[in-house]
Amino acid sequence: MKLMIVDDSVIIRKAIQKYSAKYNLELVGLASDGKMALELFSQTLPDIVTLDITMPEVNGLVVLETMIKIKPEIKVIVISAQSDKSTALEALEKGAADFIGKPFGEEKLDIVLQRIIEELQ
Amino acid sequence: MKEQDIKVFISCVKNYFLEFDHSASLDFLQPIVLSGIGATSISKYILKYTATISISGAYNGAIYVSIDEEMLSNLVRLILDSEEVNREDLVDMAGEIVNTIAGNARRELGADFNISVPFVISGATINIDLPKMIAPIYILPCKWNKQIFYLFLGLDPAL
Repeated sequence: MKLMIVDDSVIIRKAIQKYSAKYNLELVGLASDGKMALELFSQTLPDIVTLDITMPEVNGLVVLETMIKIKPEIKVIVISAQSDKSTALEALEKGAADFIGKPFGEEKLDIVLQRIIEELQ
Repeated sequence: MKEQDIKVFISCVKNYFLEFDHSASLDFLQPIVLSGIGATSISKYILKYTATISISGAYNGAIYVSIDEEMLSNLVRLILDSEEVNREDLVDMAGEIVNTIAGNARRELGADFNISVPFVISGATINIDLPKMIAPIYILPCKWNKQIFYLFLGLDPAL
């Protein structure tokens, strides 16, 4: 399974990379803004994407909608500091597979990643 | 700002550190209130890295977090379980803290509490290009495992 990580924070990208290493996912892209994310997505067509919302260039929720148009079966985990109910609901309504509020540690990501990997198998 | 709003931010700070350090020793000292935004009055609370974020919508103004290098290094090591920490990590860590605290505040202050992308400066220079805080500014001295850092709240509810 192919994984892509999208976040403008290098610490968050490194943390997701580290926390997800045990699942043997093939990391096909690391993007720090929405524009780069869409370019990489079109080239690599990952199965799972972790996606921030507040990023330079293109907002994460716009990126989410575009990714779903390109690959409707994509599993996008939106990970955002904007963890209010309306933002989470908006992400889910736009087609996110799950929503994780920042701050998050390994345990929170594990719960979501395990479920999504099981669904894809 | 109301006292209740300040409590929201204290709760967000607690939530942040407890996520990564379940046994965190976290203390909040007496807040300092500055009625003006003169650089002189602010500068004594500015540490090595200052992360800023501008706020619009339901509130106008800005939030700053000012932190020393050692504390940022300790946080990066804790989150990544790694001894290797570079300058990019420190700058990024500072930005991520202010981004998360401000973003989490939306749970209580509403979805119209709009936050910008964070901007981080290194050093003690508070220049005119930073997001503008609106007085009065509340400076919350916080201690995580005996290391002090400052949260600046310069926000005004929009009419």
